[in-house]
This record gives sequence, structure tokens and C-alpha cells, in this order.
Amino acid sequence: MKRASSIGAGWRGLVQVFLLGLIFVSILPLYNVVAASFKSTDEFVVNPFFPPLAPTLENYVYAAVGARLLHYAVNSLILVPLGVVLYLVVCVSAGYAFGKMRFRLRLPLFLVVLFLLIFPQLLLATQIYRLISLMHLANTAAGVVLSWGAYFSPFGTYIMTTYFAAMPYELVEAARMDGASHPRILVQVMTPLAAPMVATLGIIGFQSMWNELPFSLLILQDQGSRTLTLGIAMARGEYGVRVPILSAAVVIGMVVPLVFFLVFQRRITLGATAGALKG
Amino acid sequence: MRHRSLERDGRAPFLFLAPLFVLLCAFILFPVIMNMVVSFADWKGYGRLKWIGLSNYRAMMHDGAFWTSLWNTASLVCYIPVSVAVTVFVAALLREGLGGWKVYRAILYVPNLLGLVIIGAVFSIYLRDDGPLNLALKWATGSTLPFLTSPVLAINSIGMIKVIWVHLGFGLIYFLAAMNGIDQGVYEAAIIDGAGFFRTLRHITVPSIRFAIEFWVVFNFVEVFSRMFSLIYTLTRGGPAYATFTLEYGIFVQAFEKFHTGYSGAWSVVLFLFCAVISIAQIRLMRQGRA
Amino acid sequence: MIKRSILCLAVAALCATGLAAQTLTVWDFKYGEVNGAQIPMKQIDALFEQRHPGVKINHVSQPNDTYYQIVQAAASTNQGPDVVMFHPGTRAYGFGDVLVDLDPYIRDVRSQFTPASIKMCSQDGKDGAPVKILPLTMQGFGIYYNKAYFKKAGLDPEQPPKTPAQFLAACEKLQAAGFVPITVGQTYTIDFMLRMFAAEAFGPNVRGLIDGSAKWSDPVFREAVQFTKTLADKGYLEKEGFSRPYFFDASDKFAAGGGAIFIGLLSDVCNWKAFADKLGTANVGYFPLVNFPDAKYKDTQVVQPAGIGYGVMTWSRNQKLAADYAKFYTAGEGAGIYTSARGALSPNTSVSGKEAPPALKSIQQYLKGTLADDYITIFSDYTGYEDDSNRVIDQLFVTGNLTVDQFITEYQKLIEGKH
Repeated sequence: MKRASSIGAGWRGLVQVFLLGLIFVSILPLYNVVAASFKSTDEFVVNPFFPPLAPTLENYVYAAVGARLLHYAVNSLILVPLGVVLYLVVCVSAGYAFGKMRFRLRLPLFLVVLFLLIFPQLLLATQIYRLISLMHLANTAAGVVLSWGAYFSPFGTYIMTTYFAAMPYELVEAARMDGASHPRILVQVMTPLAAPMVATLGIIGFQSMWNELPFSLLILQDQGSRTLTLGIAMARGEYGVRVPILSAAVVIGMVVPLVFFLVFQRRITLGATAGALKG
Repeated sequence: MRHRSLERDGRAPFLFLAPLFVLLCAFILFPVIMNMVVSFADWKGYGRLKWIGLSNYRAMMHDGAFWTSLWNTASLVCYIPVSVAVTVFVAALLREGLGGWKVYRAILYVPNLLGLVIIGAVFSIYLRDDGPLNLALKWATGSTLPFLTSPVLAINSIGMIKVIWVHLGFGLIYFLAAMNGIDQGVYEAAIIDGAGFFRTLRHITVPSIRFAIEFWVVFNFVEVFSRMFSLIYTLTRGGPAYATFTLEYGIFVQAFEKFHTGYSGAWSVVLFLFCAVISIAQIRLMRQGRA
Repeated sequence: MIKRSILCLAVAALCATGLAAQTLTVWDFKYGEVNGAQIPMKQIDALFEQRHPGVKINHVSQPNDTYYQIVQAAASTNQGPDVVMFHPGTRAYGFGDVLVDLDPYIRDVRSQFTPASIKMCSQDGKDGAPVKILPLTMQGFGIYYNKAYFKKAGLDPEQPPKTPAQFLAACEKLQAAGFVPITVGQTYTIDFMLRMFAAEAFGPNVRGLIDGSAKWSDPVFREAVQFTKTLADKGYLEKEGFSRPYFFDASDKFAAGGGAIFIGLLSDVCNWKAFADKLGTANVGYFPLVNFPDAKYKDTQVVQPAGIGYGVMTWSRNQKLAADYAKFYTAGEGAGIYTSARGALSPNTSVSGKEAPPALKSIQQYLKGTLADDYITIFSDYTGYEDDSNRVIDQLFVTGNLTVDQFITEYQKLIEGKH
């Protein structure tokens, strides 16, 4: 079914051109990274931005084998989904509480959450490491996953709170009058309706945890238990980065989040569920 | 829409909030408080603590770098309204459902996947005096722009890259999800009435996503104050000549390069104050929305 | 080799008499360089495991940017690695209370190291203080040049331009012949030049900068700054280089023939070997600095007597083994492997290399002459100071808001803020 558009037919072409322009600008850095990953270090010196004249896989070999990135990728693939599950559970339930439930401490507690949100990660890192050590969780999956959950949840809670709050209260009211308990309402009514935002939450959570550096650096001490992002950080030596090798590492690091993103973004549609909300 | 404000939900909310607050209190609250406490001390980051009262704060007030960092942070804040406008506009465009919108959204998101470190590395090549952007400029206009070596251009480059461009990708995902709830019926009625793109944008779309726009403003504040570090570090190291030296960057430099953890604590207290202001403003807005 | 030691490990583990397998954990900011430092380090580790059956080396690379923060974090929990790599100097002195005193372990090798390096590796850099770190390399700066380009421009490749007048003339000829005279990397190039000139102006009294007996307003230093500014104004210091990273883009550019002169390091990167490998060993020339007429300390080679080294941490349960490891790397078989693989210089005089190529020969010659400390190593917040210094340099050379005299004043202020 053709969707009505408020853009006059005459303008559509221009809009497409504008969007294509945006795409071009956005895709250039990606092209640059991929191109660089296939250049030898020598070639990169003389040819930093045009396509490689003598493409080579040596950077990928270094990255995957020498820098053990494939091994680290497996670690990430275990740790990050665990973190995302924790993250979704915490944020959706807290978001519902702040967004739709009535209780006296609602705004003060939310204020605390917002406040902790803005704190720069680096300042927390050393203290969190001490706490994790004291709890004997250093070098464990639990230590990392809990730290991630603690650090990223305020933001996720904030997203879900604003979204749930904007949903009509009638939904909750109607369900309450039918005798449903809050957990039931959340799981059976609100979350399905908030599916696009929950999907967004999943994407953000996955991405944030996948790329996270300071906490995992301190907590995962064993060379063998490190994450992919840590492995990429190691590709920078004492003095800086050799772009081709770093690029290959980054491309390897990007594959999983990209796949995850492509799968989940399908849930974020244009609003086929419209009508259920404004009833 | 008036809610029955007297209706309370008993114990249930606290069950829902327990996981979050257990995590927060255990991991975040303590370090935050510690940071505030050490701002009154002289400390290396480990070892002995020496209490020095307000000395750190006095030194901070006299430190030119501190005031410059505030100015630079303020410059970046100016990009926030631009980000709101650009993101909402492009999201609304994509929402029209013109062919390939999902592909556009996906491609525009890709920079977010790359991570700030590699984006910094890539742009450090792009913006160089002999980089592709300047090559193009030279071909078109005959002269180049010193993006990385001019103080004014450097801070603006950072603003454009992070606040506008990087955020656009995530913003599209977020706003399109938020716009999901807008009733298509109202929309179509307006189109039949002859409303064009900007009309529907102003009268239907924007009011319906007020919560999302508020969120986006707060999100951008958070990013500008606390998440710029990786990009600045990779691209300009706070230079040229303090031009991209923000409050957050200063906190890092004091704590981890100079090992003046106490002094850095004083700077972070200033950051807190801004956080507090932003948080309270957000709560006020939420209160208004309930009316 | 590793398989054999793992076999030894298994056998040892089976023995009831507590000949338990020992693991030594080593932290490093160099090990992450997969096709750089890691290669010789893996060799050395394997060799060490061979010589010490039953021992396993757990060599962990840490990112350089947050390295000392991580060590700090370990210190605050009083647990962590056995051996840690440090930059000897004030950055390491701050960790003095968690570093083991190595004097009892190094009685047999102590005399092999240059006295300057031992001093730098002692607590607080004091003679007679306990030695806390064993130095693996020494570092410094110097001027490298492309001999082939010199020849093409009509200059004598064996006679480097050592006076300011000669240097300016050489740059002019190089530019006329179509070469980039000096390849530049950000403001590091200028920073390194100033460090050389500081050595030339103050000589052994570099430490006077702290107590005020030496000041930047010294006429020789001022002349040097003016000279550098002239080089920039005339375009001999290439303008595009200021937005190009020194590590490694500028260095790679020079190695690929992108310029005639380069302010390089005597470190394990951006060194004679990095250039000789690409330009040909006969093609790389070296001299330590430009000699100003009134300078008292001409031909001084500016050095950091100890560049990087290993220390043993107090919480280690294998302190003797850890000390042996550090010795193996810096005074035993390991030292030779590392320095020849990386082209680095060792402060251990008994480390013999193969027949030295011409560039290395010149360097070794100058190292036997007058040496002066790199002034930056006397500051405790080394990286912070380096960043501040680069920002002031920005203001003179890049943004142009300062004159040479104002620069000297600002530079002096930086020193006075550091004690």
C-alpha cells in the first residue's frame, strides 16, 4: 500500500539528492577505513586516501592471528549478550516504574539517575576496579557484566522512561481495571507496544558494551580473556597508531555490531502499529 | 490529560527499581562521592591523601586553562540546537517513506559503529592541510583551510563531527522509533487538506515527539560534557593551543597525565554542578508535561 | 620451544615435592606492537622459558595511553603483575614505594650499565639510592638526513651542515633542488629541536632549570628559538607537516623519501634502523644538533640515559625470578636480541652488536662525546608537561599569537609551574 507523503512530487527528486549527499559524506570514512585496511604500511604513506593500488591481506593476518583478534571476538560474543540481557531487564523495568508508576519518590530518584548519567567514565574506572577486586570478581565475566550494567543503565533507563511516559496512561489504567498486576502489564502490554524503542535500546546497549574500554581494560587482566575492543586498543603501540593495521582491526571489530544492528533495526518501522496507541 | 495523582502503586515500583539501584549504589554512587571528597585533598591516585581544604578550588579559579575549558565546552553546547534541527529534519524526511529510507538510515548509522577512536584517526587524515578535503577545496577555490591547526576551526570541526554527524546516525534510529507512535491517520487527513512537508512537521510531527526532542537535548548535553574525550584525544589532543581543551578533557589531563587526582576532583565538581542543573531542568520539564 | 617448556611444566607439576609450575606476569606497553616490539620479545620470552624449565611467562600488553593509570590501579589494590615496564625517571619515581629494591639482585651485572643509566634508574635519580629499574634502552634525539638527496642538491653528504649559516644554506639548496627540506610531524619536531638546543645551551646544568640557575632567556637558547622560527618562516620546516602526526606518519614519510632532513629519535622507533631499512644503510646520515656560535656545549648529544626498563613489584611472590627476568632482558641474552631487532641503543656496555652500519657508527661516535640530559625527564608530570609545551609551541609556530620573546616568557612560566 502506497504511503501518503507530504512532500510534493516535484520536491521528491531534490530530497533524494540531498539524502544521497548525506550518504556520501557518511560513507566516506567507512570507505577510508576499509581501503586502508587493504593497504600495506608502505603504500599508506604515499597513498592515504585513494583505493589501494596493491591490495594485501597482511593487515588482516596480523590482526586476526598476531593480535589474536579472532580469539578476543569470541570473548566479546560471550560477554556482550550477557550484558545486554541484564541491561534490557534493568532498563525496561526501571523505565516502566519511572514512566508509568505512581510513587512519592519518583522524581527525586529519577533525578539521581539523571545525575549519575552524566559522570565521565574515566573517573569511575579506577574506583570500580577497586570495588571489583574487593568483591573478588576481578578477571571474571560477572565483574565485567555487572560494571557494564551499572554504567550504561542510567542512560537506558532514561530512554525507556521518556518513552513509557509518553505512552497514554489509559493503557495501564484499562489493564489495572481488568485486575492485571504491574509485572503482567509491563510484559504483556507495554513492552510489545514499545517494541521499536526496546529494539533501539538493544542496539545501543550492544554497541556501547561492545566498544567499551576503560572498565574491561582494568577488570580483564588475563591476556586470554580480553574483549575484541581491548584487542583493537592494543594495536596502538607506545607512540600511536599505524592506520592500516588499526583499520583492519576495526573492520573485524565492526562485523558483529553491524550484523546485530541490521537484524534489530527491522523492528524500528515507520509506525505500522499506529492506531493502537491513540485509540 | 489528568492522571489520578492520588493513586499510589504501593511496593511494586521499588521491586521494579531494585535492580537498577542496587547496581548504581554499588558501583557508581561510591566513586562519585569519592571524587567529590578527594577534591579537598592532594592525592596521587593511590597512596597517601593530604587534606588541603579549598586550595584546589582556589588554584582552579586562577587557572587560565580552566576558564578556557569552560569556554570551549560552551562553544560545543552551541551545536546542540543545530543537532536538534538537523536530526529532526532528516528523520522527518526519512519518515516520508521514500524509496530506500531503511537503507539510508542504516548507512547513516555506520559511523556510530566505527567508534570514536577510528573516527578521530580517519578525520585526522581528512582534515589535514594536505588531506582530501583541502585538496578538494584547493581545486574549487584555490586555497586551503587549516582545520586542525586553527583554534576556531578546530573546535568547530569537533562540534561538526561529533555533535552533528556522529549523533545523526543514532538520532535517526531514535527519532524514527519515537515517531512510530504518531497516528498515520491524522497525517493523511492533513495531506488531504493540502498541508505540505513543513506544515505537517511543525503542527503534527514535532508536537507529538516533544518527549523525544527533550531527550535529545539532554542526551546532547551529556555527550558534550562527558563523552567527547576519545575524539578530542585522537584528533587534536586538546590543541591547537587549548582550542579544543574542554572541561572533560581537563579532568582527564589533571588526573591521568599529571596525577593531580585531587585537583581533577575539583574540576569534576564543577562538571557535577552542570549535571545537576541539566538534571533539574529535565525534571522540571517532566513535571510540566504531567499537567 | 614453548611446547618443550609446557612439557617441562607438566612433568614438574606431577612432582610431589612442590616443584610447582611458576607463572611470571609481565606488563608492558611495547608488547602490543604486533609487528614491532612483540617479535623480539616473544623470542626472548621463549628463550627465558627454555633456560628456566617450569616457568611460564604471561606477557600482557597494556595500551600506552592509560598505562600509568592501570599501574596505579594495581598499586591501589596491592596485587597485580610481577614485572612492570616503566620509563625510568620521575614517572617511575612516583611508584617507588611499590617497586622492589634491586641492588641485591644485580651485583653481578651492575658494572655493565653506564653510570648515568644506573643513576636514572635509582630512586629519585640519586647516586647511591636503591636501584629500582633495570634499563632496556636509552633514548635521545638527533638530526637524520638523506645523503642521496644531499648529493643531488649539490651538498657534500659526508659533511653535515652544523652551523646555523650552513644549515640555512643547505635548506635553501635542497628546496631549490625540489626536495622538502625538513619533514615535519605536528609540533613534536619543534619540541624535539628545542630539547636539543636546551642541551646545547645548558649542558650538564640542565637541572638548573628547576632551581632557576638556568633560564630560557639564556641568549643561546633564544637564538636557537629564533633560528627555528626562521626555518619555519622560510618554509624549510614544511607547513603541511604541522597537521601530520609525528608518530608514525611523518617518520614514515621521511623513510619513504618524502624529505631531506628529519628530527628523529635514538629510540626503538623513528630511529636510524627505521630509516636505513627503507632508504638503504649507506644513505642515512646523522648529526646531533646545529652548533650555535656562542654555545658552550657544541656537538652535545641529548640523551635520556635510560629510556624504558623493567621493575619488580613488591607484591610479587616470585621476586627472585622476576629480577632474573629483568636481568635477562637488559643484561643477558635478551638485551642483544631486542636492541638489534629494533635498532635501539642499550645502556649496557657489554651488549655487543654486529658490525654497525654507518649511521649507527656516527651515533655511537657522538655518544662517546659530550652528553646532556633531556630536560623534560626532570619533570614529574612528563606527559602533562609535554602537552603544555606543545601547546605553547603551537602558539608561536602554528597560530602565530606569540612573538619569540613572548614564547620565551610563556615557556619560562611552564617551568615555574613545575617542581
